[in-house]
Amino acid sequence: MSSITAAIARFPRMSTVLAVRNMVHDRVRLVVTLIGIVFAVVLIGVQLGLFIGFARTTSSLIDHAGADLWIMAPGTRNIDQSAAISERKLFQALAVPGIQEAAKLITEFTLFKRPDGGNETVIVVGFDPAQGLGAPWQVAEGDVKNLAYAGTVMIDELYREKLGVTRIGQIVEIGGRRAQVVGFTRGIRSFTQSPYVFASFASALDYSRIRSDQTKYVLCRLVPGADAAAMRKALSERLGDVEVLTSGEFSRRTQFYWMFTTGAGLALLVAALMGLAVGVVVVSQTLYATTIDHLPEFGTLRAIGASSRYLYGVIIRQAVLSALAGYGIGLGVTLAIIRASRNGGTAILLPGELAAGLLALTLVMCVGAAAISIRKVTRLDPAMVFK
Amino acid sequence: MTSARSSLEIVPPGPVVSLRGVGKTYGAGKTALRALAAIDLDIAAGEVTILMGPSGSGKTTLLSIIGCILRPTAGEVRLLGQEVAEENEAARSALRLAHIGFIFQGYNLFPTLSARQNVELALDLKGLGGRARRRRADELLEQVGLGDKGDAYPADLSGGQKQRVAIARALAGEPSLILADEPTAALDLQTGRRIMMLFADLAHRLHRGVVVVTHDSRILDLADRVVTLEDGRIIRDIALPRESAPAAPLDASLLRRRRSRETDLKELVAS
Ligand SMILES: Nc1ncnc2c1ncn2[C@@H]1O[C@H](COP(=O)(O)OP(=O)(O)OP(=O)(O)O)[C@@H](O)[C@H]1O
Ligand SMILES: [Mg+2]
Repeated sequence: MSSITAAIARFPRMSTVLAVRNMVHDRVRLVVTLIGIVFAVVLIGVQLGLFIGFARTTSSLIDHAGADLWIMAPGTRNIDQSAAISERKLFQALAVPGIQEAAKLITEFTLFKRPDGGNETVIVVGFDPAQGLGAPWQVAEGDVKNLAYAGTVMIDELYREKLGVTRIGQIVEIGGRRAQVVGFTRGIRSFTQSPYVFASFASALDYSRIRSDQTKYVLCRLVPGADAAAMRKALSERLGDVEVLTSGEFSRRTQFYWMFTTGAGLALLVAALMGLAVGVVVVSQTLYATTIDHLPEFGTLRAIGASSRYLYGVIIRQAVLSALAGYGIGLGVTLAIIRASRNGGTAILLPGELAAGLLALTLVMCVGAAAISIRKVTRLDPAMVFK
Repeated sequence: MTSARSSLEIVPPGPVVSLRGVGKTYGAGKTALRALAAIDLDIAAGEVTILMGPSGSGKTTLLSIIGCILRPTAGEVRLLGQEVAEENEAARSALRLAHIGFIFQGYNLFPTLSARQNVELALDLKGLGGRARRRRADELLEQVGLGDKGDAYPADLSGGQKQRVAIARALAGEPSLILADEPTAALDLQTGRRIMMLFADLAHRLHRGVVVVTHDSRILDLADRVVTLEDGRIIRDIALPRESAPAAPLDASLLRRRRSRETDLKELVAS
């Protein structure tokens, strides 16, 4: 097998050799082509990475809450803005067979006064420390257990500066109530301008002035092996006047709300599409110019009996080779940008699927851009060789 | 895929190419232009046939029809006994690849490929790959006297050397028929004559059919036959007996070979 690869490397198809030579023959054009592809790859990669990063940020609370089902006020569109429901739903839910545990959770926009007196808005997340459903999932400093004490809060280290908090023990004011910072979470971003701050359910009620017999959500964990869809149906029938969603459904609904009803996601997708358009235009132009430059050679190939497939082969190889080279460089640049932004306020995520999708998109973009060149050579009259 | 050693195939007896009543009109209606009319022509293997005639007389058109590049608007073309005028583009392309080698006035080499790679490209088209492809390319370059120029690029070669590379490339497919349009026009007399001698050698020793379009009367003596066109018609078709050739085989062309070589040449040059 390796000897076959070695033979291919030493004796490649001549169409490959010709494609490579035609491409590197004009260095300036090669550079322009690669810049075009790299630009497109980076723009698409960063925009889609931002899109995925934002989308995951919007639903991170849901995705990490550890619940299978969420009970909420009907018509809730995202986790951050919802109406309250009666806490009786918790007990009703617990009475339904198949529910292993359930806990209340609130999220509420609330005023936050920094230790230095400045004002910010935060989203208070109140969870039940005894259950752990909805607890902060990454802790940098301090202990989640300490949130069980009344009048405590944990904030994320990303927002130390914004919230003016530098160390454990500092006193802030949330919703007009004194709160002591007992720890820092790590990398728990909020999609809105208002950071998430974690507190016990009881403290959060206090901070947010929500009536003590109310909650925003009831989070349910099912017994192992229970069918989430069936349980969801059973719960909504039993509880009435609430909406029950699986964790995945609520996650997608929240993502959709923030990404599309606010226009943020659309802007990112449009920017990515523009990257794609720029890539297609640049690559098709340079590839076409290369084809035109080498048209007499394509004519000669035609005359000496090369099949149409052989001619496309040369052009498609040029497109694929440009795509691979441009993608390689573009991915490197994208990863560097992601690394540089890691500690900033925005998350750019490039999961393996996106990287693979981007490669496929780059290949499609370049091969698609080869279309006009292919049209040109297939219409070539072999009689041109005698002109 | 045809083997690169198709010369070992048995070529059917008779002419390599045979044209009957071939005509070619470019365009249609008022702008129609009749480039060829009523051409009957047989090209034999083992001979160098020169096509002459004034500019615009239809030489290139005729060569293109012989080479399955252009379709005639009238008449029949048989290549190795097979009717080809009605074949579709893909089939004609395959026929060119299998049977015909082309040589052009401007050499038409691939400037980004070395001499060896230029020949290898033609071998690649024939499906030959790997080490065998490289070895065969070197053999072919050797055959045209460029054994040491395999790594040179066209830009570094003289006109004559470039044309030799082009000939090596044309020979890659082991063609029964070699067609050249003004192959010596860009070369000086000596170089041009050497190229013509190479053609004569290919025809006589390797038994290929060779057709050369030329304006150059100084190389006529290297032909076996000179066909002259005027206004799209053949006005003269003269066979030149080979000077030191063994007795010509007894066939129909014997009659034409009677006239003395000198008389024929003088007449041709004068015309
Ligand atoms: N593609 C074409 N379309 C229209 N007319 C053409 C075309 N090709 C050739 N002709 C015309 O056909 C006639 C024969 O042309 P051809 O090229 O065969 O002549 P030629 O003998 O090769 O001339 P030259 O010695 O100048 O190369 C000329 O009048 C030419 O203008
Ligand atoms: Mg001509």
